[in-house]
Amino acid sequence: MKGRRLALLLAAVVLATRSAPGQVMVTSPTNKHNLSRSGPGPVKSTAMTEICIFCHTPHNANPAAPLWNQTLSGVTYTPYTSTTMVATAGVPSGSSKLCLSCHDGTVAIGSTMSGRQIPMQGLTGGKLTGPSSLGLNLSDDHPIAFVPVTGSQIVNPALGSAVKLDKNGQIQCRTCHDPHQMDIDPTAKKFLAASNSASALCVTCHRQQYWAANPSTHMTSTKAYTLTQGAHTGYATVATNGCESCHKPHTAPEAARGLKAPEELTCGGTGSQCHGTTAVGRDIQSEFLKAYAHPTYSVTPSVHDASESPTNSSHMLPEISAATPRHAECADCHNPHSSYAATSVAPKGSGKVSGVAGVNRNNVAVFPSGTPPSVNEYEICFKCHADSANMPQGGGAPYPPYASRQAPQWNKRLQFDSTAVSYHPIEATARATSAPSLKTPWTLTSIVACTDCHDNDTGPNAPTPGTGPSGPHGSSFKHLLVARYDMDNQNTAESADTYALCYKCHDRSIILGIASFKEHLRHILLDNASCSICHDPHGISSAQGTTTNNAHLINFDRRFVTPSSNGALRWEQTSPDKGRCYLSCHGHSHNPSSY
Amino acid sequence: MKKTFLFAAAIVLAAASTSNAQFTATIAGGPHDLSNGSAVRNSDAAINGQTCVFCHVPHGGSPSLPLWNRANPTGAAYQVYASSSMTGVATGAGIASGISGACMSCHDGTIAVDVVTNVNGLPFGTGTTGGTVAFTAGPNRKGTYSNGTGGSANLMSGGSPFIGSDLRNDHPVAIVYQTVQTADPGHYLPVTQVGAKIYINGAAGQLPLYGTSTANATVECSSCHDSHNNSLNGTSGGFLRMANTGSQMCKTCHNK
Repeated sequence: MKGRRLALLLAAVVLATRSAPGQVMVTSPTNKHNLSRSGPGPVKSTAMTEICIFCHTPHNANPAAPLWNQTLSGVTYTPYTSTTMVATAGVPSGSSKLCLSCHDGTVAIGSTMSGRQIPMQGLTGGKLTGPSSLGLNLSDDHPIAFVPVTGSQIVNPALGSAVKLDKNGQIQCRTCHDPHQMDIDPTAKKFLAASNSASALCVTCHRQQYWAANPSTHMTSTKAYTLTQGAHTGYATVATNGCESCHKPHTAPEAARGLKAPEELTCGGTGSQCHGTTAVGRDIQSEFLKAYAHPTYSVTPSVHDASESPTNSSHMLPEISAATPRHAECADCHNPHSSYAATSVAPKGSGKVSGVAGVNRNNVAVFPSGTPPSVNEYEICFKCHADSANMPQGGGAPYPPYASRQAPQWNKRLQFDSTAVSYHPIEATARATSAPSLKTPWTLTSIVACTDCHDNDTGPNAPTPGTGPSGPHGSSFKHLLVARYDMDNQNTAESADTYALCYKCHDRSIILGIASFKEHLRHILLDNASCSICHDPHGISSAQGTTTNNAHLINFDRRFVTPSSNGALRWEQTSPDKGRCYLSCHGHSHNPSSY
Repeated sequence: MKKTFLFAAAIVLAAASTSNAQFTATIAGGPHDLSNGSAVRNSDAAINGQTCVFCHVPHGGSPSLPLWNRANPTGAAYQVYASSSMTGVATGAGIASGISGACMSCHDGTIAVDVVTNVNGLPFGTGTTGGTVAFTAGPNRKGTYSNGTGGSANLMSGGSPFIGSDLRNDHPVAIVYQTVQTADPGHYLPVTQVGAKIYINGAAGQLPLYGTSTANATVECSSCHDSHNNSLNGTSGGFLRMANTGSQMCKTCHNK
């Protein structure tokens, strides 16, 4: 009686320990690693009834542990490398070598240590082919055979985790895969060692900065992202696909960092279901198809390197070589591990550009802080539009046509500096003591963002807000302006439309009235002169102008303004609301003309 | 009566003449039948058809259990299996002095198969200097043999039965099963003890452990192999205790 009870108890223990829900053990008839003739196929033996034997043998194994029976490969692999990887992937070792004895496709499956070939079916030439065969090129696969260099973004798995490093502390195939259990993750399958829903397995080691802390929209979005939309995991939302919405751990089309496509095409290329024209998320790709856009899609192949930073010696921003190709890839302004919907007050960057480093007013690297964790928005712009050695305006033909300023300056950092003679208030509040044209909510103490002027013409930042995405991806207007601003002709017929950009903040009726510069009406309306002919919208650096000659952003466009008959070309402020001009314009010499 | 005997003898002869003759349920006729079996066989008239004597002796055995007629190896040169995930501990001395040591006295290749302690009709000896008998290699032998010390030409030196002293690539033996099972109960079936018998009760049958309690019972060669019966694995032999279809023997312990 006692014995029977014990037996029942033992039977219960056996049942309890044999399998957990969702797991298909290797000896199950449905486990793909069951290569015996009773296995599920298509790769299986035509005769062998044993299951363990394809991998293990009790005697004469090689390598000894874990009693390995499949003949090992003798090939040389190309390891993974990337400019952002701190550790170095090694020559496949440990369990990886064992897995590759089938999965590199070079050794016939069933080639045992005894020299006996187990008869197989479902193979080409007896060897593994297709997606399960990684080949000799492991550069497009998650790196293996190295000890992770732990830090703020890489941690080792906790003791007892199903995700485990080998005895040498190295990551191997076995770290992520359990060859004996097929459906621990019944959705992603792939013999994963743990569920990878929302990339739970990936984040065992990978702790991307900002990802969970913000959390990133890419982590939380419940928008549909399914197999037919390009997802490869079996999961059906952005959140549950997790890392693999963008990354692919094996045979990644963009090898470094395992991206699903070259950078911007991962985010939203033709046919992309994320930020492309048939988008799950915001359609950003269409923005880049507008007449004026950051050169994100137009520069192919992508020349951005993910290691670029103000402090990276090999990929430094601002660029230190004029020969470096100009580029603006998604990741120059966005950190996909950080981006989220948090708003901010200028000059601080919003959640959408959070997690991105910048260059500050002193041309020094600056890193995200605060909430949202961002730098000032203009500091992101300064990476390319301030001290970069490869700015096209430095030589060559600028595109599109630019004003030819009397005091030319392309370094936006110098133009907006608080020591500059005159500037739009990007970094610091304006120098002006009076600005009657300002519309609510703008005041003399306002700070504006670069994106108040340079932004999507059909986005929420336009004078008439549209429904498109915000941000300076592209615009139908020159200089990627958020609204129309005509400036390239001697004569421009004034209208609310021609200077819609300026009138976004500066009240048209006041500009054309007498409260500001009383001659505005004559110049702009009667003489058809663009605002730009006299005003430089960015600023005049401290080294290039004086408060007498260049207050109120006065910096003449030499395409239309020439010296007076006496050879003078300047404006002089004589009192806060009085001054005189020495110049010739529209055939009329001011020599000087005072007001 | 006589007819029946003749008929039976004819069956035996017929069976012995087929190529499957070595897959016997008894020592006689199998690979371990060193008197007149299928692998190696002695040609010494003094043996006179004995099958037990190569391993067992009723008196003067060394070691005394299981009335062993051979010297056990020392195991000093054994290199044992190790893996990062193994919780059991094996030592060379433990293997040699345990029940697996009896098997290893031939299969490690350090003591010639023809060196026994006590053979009737031959000079009484001890250890490797004991009595020797002459052997002839049979057509079905799987091992190869080479010259050893003491004038013997019968040290096992190769082939699938040969284990050698390097046990690193062989399934571990002389490890306490319960230690392993307790550390990873999800992957090992539990131990059963009924009376003095300790075993793993798998779906396809039982496999024995050797010890006096579950706390010290070890996995030995004999857990998987029945040296007296080569019929349990059909014509695949290997003295396995059961057919390994579907790896059922492996699964008796391993829950994979």
